Amino acid sequence: MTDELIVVADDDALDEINDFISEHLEEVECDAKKRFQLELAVEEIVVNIVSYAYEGGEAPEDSGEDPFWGKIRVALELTEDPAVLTLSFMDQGSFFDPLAAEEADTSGKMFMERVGGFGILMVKETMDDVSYVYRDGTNILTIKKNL
Amino acid sequence: METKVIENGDGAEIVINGRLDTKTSKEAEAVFSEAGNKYDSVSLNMADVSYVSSAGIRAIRNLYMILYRKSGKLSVKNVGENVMEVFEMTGLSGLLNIE
Repeated sequence: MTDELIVVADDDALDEINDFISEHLEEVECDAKKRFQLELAVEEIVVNIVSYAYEGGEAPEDSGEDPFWGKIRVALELTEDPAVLTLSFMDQGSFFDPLAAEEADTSGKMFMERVGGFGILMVKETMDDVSYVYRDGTNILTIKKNL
Repeated sequence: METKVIENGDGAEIVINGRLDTKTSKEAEAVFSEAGNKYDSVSLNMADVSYVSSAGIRAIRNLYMILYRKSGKLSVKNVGENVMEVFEMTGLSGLLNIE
C-alpha cells in the first residue's frame, strides 16, 4: 500500500503529517513504543525541513515552475509481510544531507558542549534504516521502521 | 503542557504535565530558566510527561547548564520508559541524577 501527502512547509505541517501517518497505522498492528519512536523521528525530520529547507523564503528563479517549492512531500509505503513502514520526506530546499553531519556521541560530552545535533541522532537510534539522496533538486530522506 | 513550581527549602520541584516538544519547549524553557536562576537545587518531576523530543532535551540541557555553572544540582524523577529511552540516546541519562 502506498500513499502520498503534500503539505506547505509551515508550523501546521507536523500535525498534518502525523495525522496522515496515524491513519495508515490504524490499518496495522503497531505497539505504543514503536508509535512513540515514529512520532519522535517524524518530529525531528519535519521540524528540520520547516525550519531550514526554505530559509530565505524566495524561490530561486529557476524553480519558478516547481509546484513543490515551499512544500514537504511525504511518500508512505506500508507492507504487510514483513510489516514495514517506509516514509520518504522530500523538499526542494538547498542541498542538505543530514546524515553527513558529525556523528553524535552519547557519553554526555555532546550534551555538555553542543546546543544541537540531537535530532538526527534520535532518528538514527529509533529507526531501522535511514538513508538520504539528492535527486533532481530534491532532498529525499527515507526512514524505515519494522512494525 | 503545564508546569507547576513547588518550593522546598533552598530548592524547587518542577512538576511537568504533558509533552516537551517543538511547540511547548519554549514555554518550558522560560519556566526552567527562571527556576534555575532562583534556586540552587531543582528537581524535575516527569511522572506525567509521555513525550520528549530534541527540543525538550535542549530545554533540560539549558537548565542543567544554568545549575552546573553555579555548582547547583539538577535531579529528575519519575521518568517513564519512552522518555528514558530519549535520555539514554542523547547521553543525558549519564549526567542527570535520575531517581
